[in-house]
Amino acid sequence: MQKVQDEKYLVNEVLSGNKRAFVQLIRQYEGLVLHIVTPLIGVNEDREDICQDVFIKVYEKLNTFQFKSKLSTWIGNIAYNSSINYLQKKKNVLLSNIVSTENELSFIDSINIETDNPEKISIRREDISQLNQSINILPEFQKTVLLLFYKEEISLDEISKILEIPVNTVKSHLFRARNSLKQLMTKKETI
Amino acid sequence: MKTEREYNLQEAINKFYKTEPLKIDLSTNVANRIFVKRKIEIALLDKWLYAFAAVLIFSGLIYSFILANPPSLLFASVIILPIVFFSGLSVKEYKLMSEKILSLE
Repeated sequence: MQKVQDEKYLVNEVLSGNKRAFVQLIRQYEGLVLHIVTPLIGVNEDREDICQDVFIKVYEKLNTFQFKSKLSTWIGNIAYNSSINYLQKKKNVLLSNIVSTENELSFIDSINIETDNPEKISIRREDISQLNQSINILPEFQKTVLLLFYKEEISLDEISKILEIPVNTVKSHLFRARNSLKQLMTKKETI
Repeated sequence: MKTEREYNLQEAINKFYKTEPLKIDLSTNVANRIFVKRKIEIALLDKWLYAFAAVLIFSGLIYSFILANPPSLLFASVIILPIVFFSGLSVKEYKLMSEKILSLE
Protein backbone atom coordinates (compact mmCIF):
# COMPACT_ATOMS: atom_id res chain seq x y z
CA MET A 1 0.00 0.00 0.00
CA GLN A 2 2.86 2.31 0.93
CA LYS A 3 4.48 1.55 -2.43
CA VAL A 4 1.32 2.56 -4.30
CA GLN A 5 1.21 5.85 -2.41
CA ASP A 6 4.89 6.46 -3.11
CA GLU A 7 4.20 5.78 -6.79
CA LYS A 8 1.26 8.21 -6.76
CA TYR A 9 3.35 10.87 -5.09
CA LEU A 10 6.20 10.39 -7.55
CA VAL A 11 3.85 10.47 -10.56
CA ASN A 12 2.09 13.62 -9.29
CA GLU A 13 5.42 15.34 -8.70
CA VAL A 14 6.59 14.51 -12.23
CA LEU A 15 3.27 15.72 -13.65
CA SER A 16 3.63 19.03 -11.80
CA GLY A 17 6.98 19.54 -13.57
CA ASN A 18 9.41 18.41 -10.89
CA LYS A 19 12.61 17.54 -12.71
CA ARG A 20 14.21 15.81 -9.74
CA ALA A 21 11.20 13.55 -9.32
CA PHE A 22 11.51 12.55 -12.96
CA VAL A 23 15.22 11.81 -12.53
CA GLN A 24 14.32 9.66 -9.50
CA LEU A 25 11.65 7.83 -11.51
CA ILE A 26 14.16 7.06 -14.27
CA ARG A 27 16.75 5.81 -11.78
CA GLN A 28 14.12 3.63 -10.09
CA TYR A 29 13.02 1.91 -13.30
CA GLU A 30 16.21 2.06 -15.38
CA GLY A 31 17.16 -1.51 -14.43
CA LEU A 32 13.76 -2.86 -15.39
CA VAL A 33 13.88 -1.15 -18.79
CA LEU A 34 17.44 -2.36 -19.33
CA HIS A 35 16.45 -5.96 -18.51
CA ILE A 36 13.68 -5.82 -21.12
CA VAL A 37 15.44 -3.89 -23.88
CA THR A 38 18.89 -5.56 -23.71
CA PRO A 39 17.87 -9.21 -24.20
CA LEU A 40 15.61 -8.26 -27.10
CA ILE A 41 17.82 -5.69 -28.86
CA GLY A 42 21.30 -6.78 -27.83
CA VAL A 43 24.17 -4.57 -26.68
CA ASN A 44 24.51 -1.93 -29.38
CA GLU A 45 24.20 1.82 -29.97
CA ASP A 46 20.48 1.65 -30.64
CA ARG A 47 19.90 0.26 -27.14
CA GLU A 48 20.74 3.66 -25.65
CA ASP A 49 18.35 5.47 -28.00
CA ILE A 50 15.57 3.01 -27.24
CA CYS A 51 16.03 3.37 -23.46
CA GLN A 52 15.91 7.16 -23.83
CA ASP A 53 12.81 6.97 -26.02
CA VAL A 54 11.10 4.72 -23.47
CA PHE A 55 11.41 7.36 -20.74
CA ILE A 56 10.45 10.18 -23.09
CA LYS A 57 7.28 8.21 -23.90
CA VAL A 58 6.75 7.59 -20.19
CA TYR A 59 6.91 11.34 -19.58
CA GLU A 60 4.59 12.16 -22.47
CA LYS A 61 2.00 9.54 -21.54
CA LEU A 62 2.24 9.78 -17.75
CA ASN A 63 -0.94 11.87 -17.51
CA THR A 64 -2.86 8.90 -19.00
CA PHE A 65 -1.59 6.45 -16.35
CA GLN A 66 -4.62 5.50 -14.25
CA PHE A 67 -2.92 3.37 -11.52
CA LYS A 68 -4.89 0.34 -12.71
CA SER A 69 -1.61 -1.58 -12.82
CA LYS A 70 1.72 -1.13 -11.09
CA LEU A 71 3.87 1.67 -12.50
CA SER A 72 6.60 -0.91 -13.17
CA THR A 73 4.20 -3.00 -15.29
CA TRP A 74 3.17 0.07 -17.29
CA ILE A 75 6.75 1.24 -17.87
CA GLY A 76 7.88 -2.33 -18.63
CA ASN A 77 5.14 -2.64 -21.26
CA ILE A 78 6.27 0.61 -22.92
CA ALA A 79 9.85 -0.72 -22.96
CA TYR A 80 8.69 -4.02 -24.46
CA ASN A 81 6.60 -2.36 -27.19
CA SER A 82 9.42 0.05 -28.06
CA SER A 83 11.84 -2.88 -28.44
CA ILE A 84 9.39 -4.88 -30.56
CA ASN A 85 8.66 -1.85 -32.77
CA TYR A 86 12.39 -1.36 -33.25
CA LEU A 87 12.91 -5.02 -34.20
CA GLN A 88 10.01 -4.99 -36.62
CA LYS A 89 11.01 -1.71 -38.27
CA LYS A 90 14.78 -1.98 -38.39
CA LYS A 91 15.38 -5.69 -38.60
CA ASN A 92 12.11 -6.89 -40.12
CA VAL A 93 11.79 -9.49 -37.39
CA LEU A 94 8.35 -11.05 -37.01
CA LEU A 95 6.93 -10.93 -33.51
CA SER A 96 6.03 -14.63 -33.71
CA ASN A 97 9.71 -15.45 -34.33
CA ILE A 98 10.70 -13.78 -31.08
CA VAL A 99 7.89 -15.01 -28.86
CA SER A 100 7.58 -18.50 -30.43
CA THR A 101 4.62 -19.65 -28.35
CA GLU A 102 3.53 -22.49 -30.61
CA ASN A 103 5.31 -25.15 -28.59
CA GLU A 104 3.93 -24.13 -25.24
CA LEU A 105 4.45 -26.97 -22.82
CA SER A 106 1.21 -28.85 -22.17
CA PHE A 107 2.03 -29.85 -18.57
CA ILE A 108 3.08 -26.34 -17.56
CA ASP A 109 -0.30 -25.59 -15.98
CA SER A 110 0.34 -28.15 -13.25
CA ILE A 111 3.67 -26.65 -12.22
CA ASN A 112 3.91 -23.93 -9.62
CA ILE A 113 7.05 -22.45 -11.01
CA GLU A 114 7.46 -19.98 -8.16
CA THR A 115 7.65 -22.68 -5.47
CA ASP A 116 8.28 -26.02 -7.21
CA ASN A 117 11.76 -26.32 -8.52
CA PRO A 118 12.19 -29.82 -9.95
CA GLU A 119 15.27 -28.76 -11.88
CA LYS A 120 17.00 -27.22 -8.91
CA ILE A 121 20.32 -25.81 -9.98
CA SER A 122 23.20 -25.36 -7.56
CA ILE A 123 25.96 -23.11 -8.72
CA ARG A 124 29.40 -22.90 -7.22
CA ARG A 125 31.15 -19.55 -6.95
CA GLU A 126 33.71 -20.59 -9.56
CA ASP A 127 30.94 -21.41 -12.05
CA ILE A 128 29.35 -17.96 -11.95
CA SER A 129 31.09 -16.73 -15.11
CA GLN A 130 29.87 -19.87 -16.89
CA LEU A 131 26.36 -19.11 -15.71
CA ASN A 132 26.59 -15.55 -17.07
CA GLN A 133 27.82 -16.83 -20.43
CA SER A 134 25.02 -19.40 -20.51
CA ILE A 135 22.39 -16.75 -19.77
CA ASN A 136 23.76 -14.57 -22.56
CA ILE A 137 23.24 -17.27 -25.19
CA LEU A 138 19.63 -18.04 -24.25
CA PRO A 139 16.94 -17.07 -26.82
CA GLU A 140 15.76 -13.46 -26.44
CA PHE A 141 12.41 -14.15 -24.87
CA GLN A 142 13.66 -16.80 -22.44
CA LYS A 143 16.39 -14.45 -21.31
CA THR A 144 13.94 -11.58 -20.84
CA VAL A 145 11.55 -13.70 -18.79
CA LEU A 146 14.42 -15.15 -16.73
CA LEU A 147 15.86 -11.71 -15.90
CA LEU A 148 12.48 -10.20 -15.09
CA PHE A 149 11.62 -13.12 -12.81
CA TYR A 150 14.93 -13.58 -11.00
CA LYS A 151 16.74 -10.26 -11.31
CA GLU A 152 13.82 -7.84 -11.11
CA GLU A 153 11.73 -10.23 -8.95
CA ILE A 154 8.57 -9.54 -10.93
CA SER A 155 5.66 -11.97 -10.59
CA LEU A 156 4.60 -14.22 -13.48
CA ASP A 157 1.31 -12.37 -13.73
CA GLU A 158 3.05 -9.01 -14.11
CA ILE A 159 5.53 -10.42 -16.63
CA SER A 160 2.59 -11.68 -18.69
CA LYS A 161 1.12 -8.14 -18.67
CA ILE A 162 4.43 -6.53 -19.60
CA LEU A 163 5.11 -8.93 -22.46
CA GLU A 164 1.44 -9.23 -23.48
CA ILE A 165 1.49 -13.04 -23.44
CA PRO A 166 -0.51 -15.56 -21.35
CA VAL A 167 0.87 -16.57 -17.93
CA ASN A 168 1.33 -20.15 -19.15
CA THR A 169 3.56 -18.93 -21.97
CA VAL A 170 5.65 -17.03 -19.42
CA LYS A 171 5.91 -20.21 -17.33
CA SER A 172 6.86 -22.16 -20.42
CA HIS A 173 9.65 -19.71 -21.31
CA LEU A 174 10.93 -19.75 -17.74
CA PHE A 175 10.85 -23.54 -17.60
CA ARG A 176 12.76 -23.81 -20.89
CA ALA A 177 15.26 -21.17 -19.79
CA ARG A 178 16.02 -23.04 -16.58
CA ASN A 179 16.36 -26.35 -18.41
CA SER A 180 18.63 -24.80 -21.03
CA LEU A 181 20.77 -23.28 -18.29
CA LYS A 182 21.04 -26.61 -16.53
CA GLN A 183 22.06 -28.34 -19.75
CA LEU A 184 24.56 -25.64 -20.68
CA MET A 185 26.11 -25.71 -17.23
CA THR A 186 26.45 -29.51 -17.14
CA LYS A 187 27.83 -29.57 -20.70
CA LYS A 188 30.56 -27.13 -19.78
CA GLU A 189 31.34 -29.08 -16.63
CA THR A 190 31.85 -32.31 -18.57
CA ILE A 191 34.08 -30.71 -21.24
CA MET B 1 38.26 -29.17 4.74
CA LYS B 2 36.71 -25.95 3.53
CA THR B 3 33.31 -26.51 1.83
CA GLU B 4 32.53 -24.36 -1.15
CA ARG B 5 29.52 -22.09 -0.99
CA GLU B 6 26.79 -23.03 -3.47
CA TYR B 7 24.06 -20.75 -4.75
CA ASN B 8 20.67 -21.58 -6.14
CA LEU B 9 19.68 -20.04 -9.46
CA GLN B 10 17.75 -17.14 -7.91
CA GLU B 11 20.65 -16.14 -5.67
CA ALA B 12 23.25 -16.57 -8.37
CA ILE B 13 21.42 -14.45 -10.95
CA ASN B 14 20.47 -11.82 -8.43
CA LYS B 15 23.94 -11.47 -6.99
CA PHE B 16 26.22 -12.04 -9.92
CA TYR B 17 24.51 -11.51 -13.24
CA LYS B 18 25.12 -8.01 -14.55
CA THR B 19 23.51 -6.64 -17.67
CA GLU B 20 25.99 -4.47 -19.50
CA PRO B 21 25.28 -0.91 -18.33
CA LEU B 22 24.53 1.93 -20.75
CA LYS B 23 27.39 4.21 -21.73
CA ILE B 24 25.31 7.30 -21.01
CA ASP B 25 23.81 8.72 -17.83
CA LEU B 26 20.25 7.87 -18.79
CA SER B 27 18.40 9.90 -16.15
CA THR B 28 20.35 13.13 -16.70
CA ASN B 29 20.23 12.80 -20.49
CA VAL B 30 16.48 12.22 -20.68
CA ALA B 31 15.59 14.82 -18.04
CA ASN B 32 17.75 17.42 -19.79
CA ARG B 33 16.23 16.62 -23.18
CA ILE B 34 12.73 17.14 -21.81
CA PHE B 35 13.26 20.04 -19.42
CA VAL B 36 15.68 22.07 -21.57
CA LYS B 37 13.15 21.86 -24.42
CA ARG B 38 10.44 23.18 -22.09
CA LYS B 39 12.75 25.96 -20.88
CA ILE B 40 13.30 27.12 -24.48
CA GLU B 41 9.54 27.01 -25.13
CA ILE B 42 8.91 29.13 -22.03
CA ALA B 43 11.66 31.61 -22.99
CA LEU B 44 10.00 32.02 -26.40
CA LEU B 45 6.65 32.55 -24.72
CA ASP B 46 8.31 35.15 -22.46
CA LYS B 47 9.30 37.20 -25.52
CA TRP B 48 5.79 37.13 -26.95
CA LEU B 49 4.23 38.08 -23.64
CA TYR B 50 6.45 41.17 -23.27
CA ALA B 51 5.90 42.11 -26.92
CA PHE B 52 2.13 41.87 -26.43
CA ALA B 53 2.23 44.06 -23.30
CA ALA B 54 4.39 46.64 -25.15
CA VAL B 55 1.96 46.75 -28.09
CA LEU B 56 -0.98 47.24 -25.71
CA ILE B 57 0.73 50.12 -23.89
CA PHE B 58 1.97 51.71 -27.12
CA SER B 59 -1.47 51.58 -28.77
CA GLY B 60 -3.01 53.03 -25.58
CA LEU B 61 -0.60 55.95 -25.83
CA ILE B 62 -1.34 56.52 -29.51
CA TYR B 63 -5.07 56.41 -28.86
CA SER B 64 -4.82 58.84 -25.95
CA PHE B 65 -2.63 61.44 -27.67
CA ILE B 66 -3.61 61.20 -31.32
CA LEU B 67 -7.01 59.61 -31.74
CA ALA B 68 -8.75 60.74 -28.58
CA ASN B 69 -10.53 64.08 -28.84
CA PRO B 70 -9.34 66.11 -26.99
CA PRO B 71 -5.98 64.39 -26.26
CA SER B 72 -5.14 64.38 -22.57
CA LEU B 73 -2.67 62.88 -20.11
CA LEU B 74 -5.50 62.03 -17.71
CA PHE B 75 -7.29 60.04 -20.42
CA ALA B 76 -4.00 58.29 -21.28
CA SER B 77 -3.43 57.32 -17.66
CA VAL B 78 -6.99 55.97 -17.41
CA ILE B 79 -6.16 53.61 -20.29
CA ILE B 80 -2.50 52.88 -19.58
CA LEU B 81 -2.63 52.30 -15.82
CA PRO B 82 -5.13 49.39 -15.88
CA ILE B 83 -3.18 47.85 -18.78
CA VAL B 84 0.08 48.08 -16.83
CA PHE B 85 -1.62 46.83 -13.66
CA PHE B 86 -3.21 43.76 -15.26
CA SER B 87 -0.18 43.03 -17.44
CA GLY B 88 1.98 43.21 -14.32
CA LEU B 89 -0.29 40.78 -12.49
CA SER B 90 -0.32 38.39 -15.46
CA VAL B 91 3.45 38.49 -15.82
CA LYS B 92 3.89 37.88 -12.09
CA GLU B 93 1.51 34.92 -12.14
CA TYR B 94 3.12 33.59 -15.29
CA LYS B 95 6.59 33.84 -13.73
CA LEU B 96 5.45 31.97 -10.64
CA MET B 97 3.97 29.26 -12.84
CA SER B 98 7.06 28.91 -15.01
CA GLU B 99 9.26 28.77 -11.91
CA LYS B 100 7.11 25.95 -10.57
CA ILE B 101 7.25 24.14 -13.89
CA LEU B 102 11.02 24.41 -14.07
CA SER B 103 11.46 23.80 -10.37
CA LEU B 104 14.28 21.49 -9.39
CA GLU B 105 12.78 20.83 -6.02
